Amino acid sequence: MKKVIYKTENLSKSFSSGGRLQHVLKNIDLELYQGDFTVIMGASGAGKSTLLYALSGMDVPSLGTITFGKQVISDLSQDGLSVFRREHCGFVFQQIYLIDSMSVLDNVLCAGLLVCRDKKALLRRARELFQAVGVNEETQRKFPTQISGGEAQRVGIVRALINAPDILFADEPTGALNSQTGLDVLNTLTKFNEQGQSVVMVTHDMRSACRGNRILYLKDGAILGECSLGRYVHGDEKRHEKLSAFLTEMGW
Amino acid sequence: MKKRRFVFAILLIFLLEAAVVFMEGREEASQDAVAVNKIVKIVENNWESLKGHSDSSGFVSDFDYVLNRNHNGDLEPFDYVVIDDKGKVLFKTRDRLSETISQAVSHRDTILDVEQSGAAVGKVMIYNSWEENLVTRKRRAILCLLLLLLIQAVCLAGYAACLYGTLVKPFRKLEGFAERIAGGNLDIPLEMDRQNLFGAFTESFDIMRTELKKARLAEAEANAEKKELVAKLSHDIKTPVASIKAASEVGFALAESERMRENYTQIIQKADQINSLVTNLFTATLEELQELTVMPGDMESSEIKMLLENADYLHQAEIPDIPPCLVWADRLRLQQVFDNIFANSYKYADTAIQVQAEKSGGWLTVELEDAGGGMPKEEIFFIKEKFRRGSNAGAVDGAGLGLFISDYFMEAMKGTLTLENGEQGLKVRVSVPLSGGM
Amino acid sequence: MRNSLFLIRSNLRRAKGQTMAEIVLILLAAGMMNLWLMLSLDYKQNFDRWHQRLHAEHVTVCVADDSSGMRGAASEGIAGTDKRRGIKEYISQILKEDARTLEFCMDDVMCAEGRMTYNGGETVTNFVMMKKEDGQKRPVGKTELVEDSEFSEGVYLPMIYKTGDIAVGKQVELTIGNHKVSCQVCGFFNSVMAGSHNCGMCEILMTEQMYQELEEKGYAQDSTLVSVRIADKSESEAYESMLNHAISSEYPGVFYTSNSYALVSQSRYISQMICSGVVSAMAFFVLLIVLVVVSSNILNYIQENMKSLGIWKAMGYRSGQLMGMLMLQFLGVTLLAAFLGAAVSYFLFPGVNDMMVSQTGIPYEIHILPVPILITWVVLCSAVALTVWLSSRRIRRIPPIDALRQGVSNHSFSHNYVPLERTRAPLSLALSLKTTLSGVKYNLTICVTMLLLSLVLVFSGLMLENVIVDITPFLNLVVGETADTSININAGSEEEFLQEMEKDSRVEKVYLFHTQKVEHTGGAELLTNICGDFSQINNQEIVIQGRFPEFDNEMALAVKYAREQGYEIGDEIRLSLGEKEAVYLISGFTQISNNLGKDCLLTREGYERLGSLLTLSYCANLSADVKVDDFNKEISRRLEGKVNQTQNIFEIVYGTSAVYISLMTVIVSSILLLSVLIIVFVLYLLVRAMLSNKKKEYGILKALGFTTTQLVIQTAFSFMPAVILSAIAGLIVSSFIINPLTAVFLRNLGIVTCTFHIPAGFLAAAGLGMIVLAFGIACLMSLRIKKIVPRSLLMND
Repeated sequence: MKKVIYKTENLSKSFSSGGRLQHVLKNIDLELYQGDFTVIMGASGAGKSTLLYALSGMDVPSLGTITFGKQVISDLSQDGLSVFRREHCGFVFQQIYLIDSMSVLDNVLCAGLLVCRDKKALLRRARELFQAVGVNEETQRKFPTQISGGEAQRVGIVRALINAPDILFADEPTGALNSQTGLDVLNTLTKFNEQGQSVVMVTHDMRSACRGNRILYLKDGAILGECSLGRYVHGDEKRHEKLSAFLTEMGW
Repeated sequence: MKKRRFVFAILLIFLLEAAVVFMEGREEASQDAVAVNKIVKIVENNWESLKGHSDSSGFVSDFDYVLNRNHNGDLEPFDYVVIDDKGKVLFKTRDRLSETISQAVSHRDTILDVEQSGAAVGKVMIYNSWEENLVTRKRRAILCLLLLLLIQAVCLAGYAACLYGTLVKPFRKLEGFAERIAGGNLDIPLEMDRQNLFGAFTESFDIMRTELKKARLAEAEANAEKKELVAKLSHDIKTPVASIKAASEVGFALAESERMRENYTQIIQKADQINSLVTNLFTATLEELQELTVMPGDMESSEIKMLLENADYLHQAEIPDIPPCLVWADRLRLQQVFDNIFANSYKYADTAIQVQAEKSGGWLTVELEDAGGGMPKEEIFFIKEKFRRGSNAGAVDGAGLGLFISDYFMEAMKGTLTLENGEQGLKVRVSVPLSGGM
Repeated sequence: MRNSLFLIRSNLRRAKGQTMAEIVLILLAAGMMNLWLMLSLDYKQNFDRWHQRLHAEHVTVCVADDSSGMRGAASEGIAGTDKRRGIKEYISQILKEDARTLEFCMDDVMCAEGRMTYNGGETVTNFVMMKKEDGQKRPVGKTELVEDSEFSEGVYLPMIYKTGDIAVGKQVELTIGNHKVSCQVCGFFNSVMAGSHNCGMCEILMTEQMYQELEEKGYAQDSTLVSVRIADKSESEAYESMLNHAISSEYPGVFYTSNSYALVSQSRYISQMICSGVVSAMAFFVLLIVLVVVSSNILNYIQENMKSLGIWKAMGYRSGQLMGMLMLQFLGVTLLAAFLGAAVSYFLFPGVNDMMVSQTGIPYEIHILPVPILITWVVLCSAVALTVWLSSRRIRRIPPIDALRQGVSNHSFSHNYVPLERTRAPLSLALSLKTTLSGVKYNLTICVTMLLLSLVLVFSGLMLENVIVDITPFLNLVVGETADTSININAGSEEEFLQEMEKDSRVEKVYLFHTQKVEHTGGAELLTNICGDFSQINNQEIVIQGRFPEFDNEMALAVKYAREQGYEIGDEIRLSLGEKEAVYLISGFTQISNNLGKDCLLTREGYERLGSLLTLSYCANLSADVKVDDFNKEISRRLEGKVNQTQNIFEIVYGTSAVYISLMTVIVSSILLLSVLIIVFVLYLLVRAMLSNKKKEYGILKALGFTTTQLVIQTAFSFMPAVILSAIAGLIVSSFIINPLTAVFLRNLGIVTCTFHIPAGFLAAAGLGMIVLAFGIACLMSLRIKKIVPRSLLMND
């Protein structure tokens, strides 16, 4: 039995645009399990990112509850959410979003120092992570504008993982990258997942989705279907077929 | 930037030196006429006593406080000699001063008359200390110049160090760097200070290195990629083939038993679809309800509480909180449904109404029960029919359409409306589907 | 052209708040500048206009008809009218002989030293009393009634005395000589040369009846008022001293008082000068802020619109066109706002004018002055244009392709300040230091603002400490010597008086402090203060360089006069009184603004080389609990016939100083208010610029788990190093330069060096307050961070 880390009930999110309420998420009841590589798919505007940001405490749902462990995070204040995010969540963005005015290393430390007071341990962890994603010392001292997109995204992953988050959220991490660097990033994510890191990833790219062991398909703000794929094995063709069959069924 | 700063500093130092030389080279500060006047006046006022005791020691204390502001700006006492009209020394502040007029003249001392009632009775000769002043002034000028030169030397040394740091050192570094590249070692970057004058210049060297490195890597990669491409293409072609195969398998399975029936089934299905679409269209028209369009949408369940409160205008019920969720309903039509239920209860039971709301499965259910005793079991089945009224309707006005329309609305909203006899009276259950559940 | 107009419109629409702020600031600057120009350009001319309109004289002398000192036996036994005729004839002969004289007129008046209560204090001057009809009919130096009434008996006072307490129909108490006279105020008049209490004489018009009554009582001496117009008004002072010399040498000891165009035109506009000085300082201050704001807005605009500017360039616009567009936009706003500002200044002007009229006593009619408006326009527009040009030059350096590709990150070459791996500072501090160090532009703006504000603060502190809280330092500077009472006695009874004083336990100190006029041979007439022993006087700071005169051949000279005439300490100067002349050695420089810098100090022996004193004024310090007026009365009674006059100096001085205190309070509080507003405004601009610059960064930091509070404090902190350093530096530097600066400000009063005490405690507290205020405001302003939500990051995509 897998351990549930996230549980949502009736999770709904509405935005008002031009005086009209637009319901982006509708009554989502969802459980996320520890160690899973959950992939959220769906057409544009299906509410994938909204779901991701609601889960990760970047945004407050308009209805329903989100429970993380025993903590109800949908009740937290903005500052409470900030504290929640820094302690439990890591983020990888499509646009990467490194801070241009800081060196690569400082970008990572800036997130790490928020939680960890022991600078030595932190530096050690940062070095380990950098090594794991293949970012060398030279790059660490550069500025975000001076490194390539793939490198930047790997730095983004290091920054997301620096606080050893319970869950890593990735919003189309390969969206802004070319196929080769995108593959590197995916491999990195898969590697960390294999080491037990829970990952939730939003994507509309089949190749990326293939990495997940649990695929959720979102349509019009509700979960239309779910597909369990099992652990990723490189070169497993059945896996790909199963996924494409599922997606065809869902109307992809 | 640095250059400008340097020029400025040099200029400043030159200005300082010029100022020092100018100050030191200036003529000696003029004699303090006011202080001299004071001496003369004091001598005049004390003339009688001066004459009395030519070398009175107690007298000195009156005099020596007359201070002179010397050229350094320090205060120092005047030295002077007082003589009477016969040349006799009446008072002197110290020895070795000019004691006769001719001595004083040759030493360029200041000689002033001492007057008593308009007539000169003696002279005050104020010692001119220009010799001592000259020596101290020279010493000071040399000291100042030395100090300035020292500062200048320090500045220049600093600048030299700065130059070394900004110019020589980068070139030295560049030297080693070039050697390494020549040797084929492309991994070690050229450290650079971007603030440096040569930052951009050295950076281009580093760019050259990275470009070289990239080119080398690309070459190796290109070789590897060619091999990979072959493998990849074969993989990519497999996928659509698999889909085609899967579909044809299904077709094959059906064709095995009755190839034609499959085609028929498809046709029948389409026909059914068209049939149902047409049926829907027609029933709507036939049921003379075409103007009662129902347009369900997403709405928050909290709105249902408002609808209930609006409907319960006699306040017979205590409306509970509705579990928060998003439901699929038409606000206006749902209001009509509740209006109808409450109106019926007011008409036929006229008791308090119990309202309960509950969310279960894909539904949000609102149960309303009054204490009017309900209605006969056999009537409950048909009560939702058109123009059907309960046997207990009696003289109460009504057309028997309310529940029929309500039921129609609920169906259009994909919800349900059920009636049953509860413990106290009629229990009406309105179920609305949750959004996203379909 | 049409295209750029369209662009300007869209720019303006997008930055509505910003444009409003600009308009308000320019409006303020233009208003104040116009006000200042009107005050400084036209106000002085107003004096000349009135001078012309009333056909006023350039030199006025009022000579008593007492001919007791007249030489020659002929004076004895001649009746009063004959004496009068004698003097008149003598004077008219002198006037006619002088080629500079254009025309003159003489009238019979009464003249006496007098006092009246005014503005809560007592003012002392020489009253020249005249029949109302005579005054209005004079061919030279006539008076004009400004306010009249039906009362048949009473006095008409100069405009300057029109205050709440003194108005038509009310009773006013005049002390003429030593006699109090209560009379009805019938109206007010305007007289150019004799309409104020600070220019030697003050005219009072009386009804026929009143005049005769007073004449019978004999409180005042019968005198002759001589008004002379001369050809060249710049010679008025020389002419005055010539005339005085002629009178005092022919009639030694006769009472006379005089003034000249130069003295009056200057002294009647002192407060106008102070006011215009303050307004001009504020105008330039605001102008500076305008320029800072404009340049910050442009830099902000370029930063925010880097991409669209790149697109414009790619489309083929030249940099010049884009800059021209900005120029047009800002100049348009400036032109409009400056025009409105000039209009606003005309709304403010009546208020200022009322204040000024009550100070100068000369009515001023407000009319449109095109020249100040033009100057305001030109100055503002050229300053703004220059700023726009300087700060929009960056546009030239935007390469279109780079701008399009990545929106030009202007910090691509930044240095990694405060590397987190090495720093020991806590995270928030380290991050704010990073911001501080990489934002030179912000720091520069803050530094300039804070330096200016510290100067303002130091000035306010100085005024607070030296004028408002305790006015003594200011009085010491402006008035010179102050004591409790001044008693004028006959020369003969000096010994008796001194014995009496010695016996009196209430008297703490008594010393001779007499004021006389002497003439600098070949120069102006100087007011000399004569003292037996200058170590006795209360204000030892009168002498600012050198020392007090100690011997009979020494004197101290007013520094303003000495500089004008090129005298140094140690030089000799020739003074004359009547026909006697003596040479003095200048032992020191004084600064007293009583006589607008035409003063000197002499020892008693020194003065006696020129002439003898007939009366002696002694100043006395009394014990703290003694009532000065009672004391004066008692002494007058005890030494009746020997005491000519007593004066409550304390009351006079502190009475007149009330005006200064209230003026300074207004100035200081408005300055403080202004500086608070400016801090708020500048920080608002900076925080806004920083937030718009770093919006993405804040979003990322929030997503990473930074709380709003952390970010707010971080932002506020990032301003603090510049604020603290520049506040401290500013306060220290300002403390050093404020005294010389104030001296420049008060130069026209004859003050060259200021030795105001600098309130270190107050400044430290105020500086701290300023820093805390800045921090608070920065926090408050950066609360806008709350609105930045991490969600906006994904909404953009």
